[in-house]
Amino acid sequence: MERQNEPGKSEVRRVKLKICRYSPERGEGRHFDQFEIEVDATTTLIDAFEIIKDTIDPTFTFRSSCHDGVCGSCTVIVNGVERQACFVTVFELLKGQEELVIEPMRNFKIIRDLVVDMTPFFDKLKAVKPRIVLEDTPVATEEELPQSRENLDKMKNSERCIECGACVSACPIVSINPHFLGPAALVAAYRSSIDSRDQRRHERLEIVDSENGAWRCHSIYQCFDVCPKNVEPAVVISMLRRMIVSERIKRLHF
Amino acid sequence: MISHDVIIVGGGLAGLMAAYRASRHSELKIALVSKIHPLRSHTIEATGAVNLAIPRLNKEDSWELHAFDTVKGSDYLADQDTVEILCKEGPEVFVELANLGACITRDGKGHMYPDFNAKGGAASVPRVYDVILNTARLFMRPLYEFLIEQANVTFFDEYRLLSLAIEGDVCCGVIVMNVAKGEVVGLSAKSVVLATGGLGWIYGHTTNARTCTGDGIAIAYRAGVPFKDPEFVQFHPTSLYGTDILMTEICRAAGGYLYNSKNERFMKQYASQSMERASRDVVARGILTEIVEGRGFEYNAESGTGYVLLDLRHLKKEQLEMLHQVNEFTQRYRGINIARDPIPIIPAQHYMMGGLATDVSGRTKMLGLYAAGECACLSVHGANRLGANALVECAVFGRRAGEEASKHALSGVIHRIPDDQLEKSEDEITRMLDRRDGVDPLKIEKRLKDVMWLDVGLFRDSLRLQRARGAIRELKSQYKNVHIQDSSRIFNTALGKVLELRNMLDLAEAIVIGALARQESRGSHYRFDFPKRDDLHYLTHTLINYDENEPRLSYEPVRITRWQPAERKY
Repeated sequence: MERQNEPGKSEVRRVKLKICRYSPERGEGRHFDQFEIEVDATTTLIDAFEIIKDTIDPTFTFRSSCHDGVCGSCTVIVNGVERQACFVTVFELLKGQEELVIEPMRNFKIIRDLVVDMTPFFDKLKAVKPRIVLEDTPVATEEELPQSRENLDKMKNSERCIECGACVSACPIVSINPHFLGPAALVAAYRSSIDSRDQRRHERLEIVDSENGAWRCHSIYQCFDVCPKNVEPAVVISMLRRMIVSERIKRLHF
Repeated sequence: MISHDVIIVGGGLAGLMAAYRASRHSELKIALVSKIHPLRSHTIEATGAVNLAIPRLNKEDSWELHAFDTVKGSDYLADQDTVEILCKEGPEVFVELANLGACITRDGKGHMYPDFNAKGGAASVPRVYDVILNTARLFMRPLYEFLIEQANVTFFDEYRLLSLAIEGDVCCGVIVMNVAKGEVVGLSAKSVVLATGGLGWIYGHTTNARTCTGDGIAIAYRAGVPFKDPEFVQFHPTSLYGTDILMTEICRAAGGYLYNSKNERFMKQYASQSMERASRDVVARGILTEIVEGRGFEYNAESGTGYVLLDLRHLKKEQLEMLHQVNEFTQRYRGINIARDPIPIIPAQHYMMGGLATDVSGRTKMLGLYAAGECACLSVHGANRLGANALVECAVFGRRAGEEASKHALSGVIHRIPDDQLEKSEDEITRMLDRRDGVDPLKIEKRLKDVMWLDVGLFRDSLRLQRARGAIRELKSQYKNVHIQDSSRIFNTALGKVLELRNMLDLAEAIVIGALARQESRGSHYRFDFPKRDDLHYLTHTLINYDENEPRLSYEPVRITRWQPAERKY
């Protein structure tokens, strides 16, 4: 993305980025390459990646699309913390830091450099059956099913999720147990189930009421810290647990 | 041989809607192919505002009124039969999306309601419906979540479209590249629906993502589908200066003001009644005129940039709340708080009215090939699109194309993809990757984007357009020797960009040819040398037919049902 010069923003700095590389096709195991480039106050991390790819190393590979923090493509780890590369400036990242170390997300298999395989992530989303309409139900088109403002408010947090993967990368439980459904999928399960129009609550809650579902979370709150959209996954998971228990109690009465 | 009944290329709202519709035919096998994960598609950048004429919810409105606004907004170039369908079917499609799980905002009684505080640009009455959180993602998500659970739908995530597979003159599938592995694969099908979005990335300043390179349009265009109305490129009046990030039209709909360097609300000169709420092309030209004539800030003639100010400081608290996402952008990228400071803005390319010529059901002239959404041109938007009509087009016509493609597939036959076509694609890739030196693709891309922005932008004339034509010819010639400096097969994004560059060049050429041929000004196409609308000669659609050296021009009449062209004043 091009940047015009702006009054008062013309300070330019040389910065060093240490970036994790990986390319089995080229016979390279994981290693770090160092790049030195010039940035100004408006240069985002994704801009920096592009400067590196365009002017220094054309083989440097990363994902990106929207460039304004809405699509979730460009999640990387910077000095140990998950960030959306397009939604943070290099100057911001340099605050209080000596150097910038960039790595791909944790808990994902690396395809190349900073590109990871998101398939298991989306498989887990599928596993919680987020669709709210029953199979073979004709969906009405004449009039909308009512939904209260209060119900919409309850959905706001979980609807903010852009499936960027940061929470799953940051989750220590996912690290030790790859079968754990993980924060993003559990958030989706909550969001679908809290929707007053949901027709599959029971089915879905049974799925997440499992050893590798909501009960596997240990409330470590790393997901809460790294989520770029303030979904607060750990909080949502605790609400999901309450929902599961309520549902169980309801069923006891029948 | 991997075969499906229907292949949809593109995972934005139009593609997901087409797939959803097709998947309802349980006997059909559907494939959804996308070069990025569907949930990353450019649809998500929209705020999710949609124009719906629902008299039940706004007594003053009717589909006829919505249609009239759309036709007038199109500067009378829209095909009115398609506009009628847009306005009639929009409401039921979005009610269906709501009932699938989309979170449309509600009134105190739990019903949908049009935002009475924000009349969209060039709309007669308030008819904009929103989603919570102001992101069109909320329309995509329920469709995606529905589709992933369908046994008859297979996703091909991060598969890039290389070309159409053609048997005789029938589309029989697609040839794609598995991006992660760099393998060329043939997917045969009875019907193919292209829903690949727009081409904004060919412009130096665009609100589009860098993945918006018009691949589907270019590939079908090269295969013989006419590129309709290519000269009609929409420039959004307000992008955040220096970032190309869209500052949503809602800023103006909610009552924002535009100021020049003399502190004047200059829109008085360009649209005395509607002021900042006039149609996009009128506002965009007004802003750029102020900048170019020295009444803006930081005008740079060489780069063709500068800015004016968008002032939201006087808006009510609830309105500023509604624009919280705008504030997020301005804060993060420019340290600007919209409640305290004015925002520097400049127009940027935003949308493509032109695209692959289709009929009202998404059929292109190639049997078995359909198109919907921004990559198609029905034409529902004519010479200028109204804000909040794009998503409606995607959903309504995505659905129609999905249905038509399904009907065709129910009676169609699978053709094997000819081996030579697969080999040709594979050879092309290998040749490109093996080249050891040549022209730097980044130089070609940068020059193309500069040329389009400066010479084929908001203001055009014969001199600029001829200059652009020559420049693009030169760039196309240079492209033949382009050197990709990454020879990998695995996730080679440099290769991806070079493949996209070819598409960008072909489309840019067609846009310039269309712009040169249209010797009038209409909607978003403005020419200094022909500043007036000329219905006598140009109440017609431009069609460009691909040829490697000299694309051929032809014309198609505008379909008028109810509204005779009149002077377009705001």
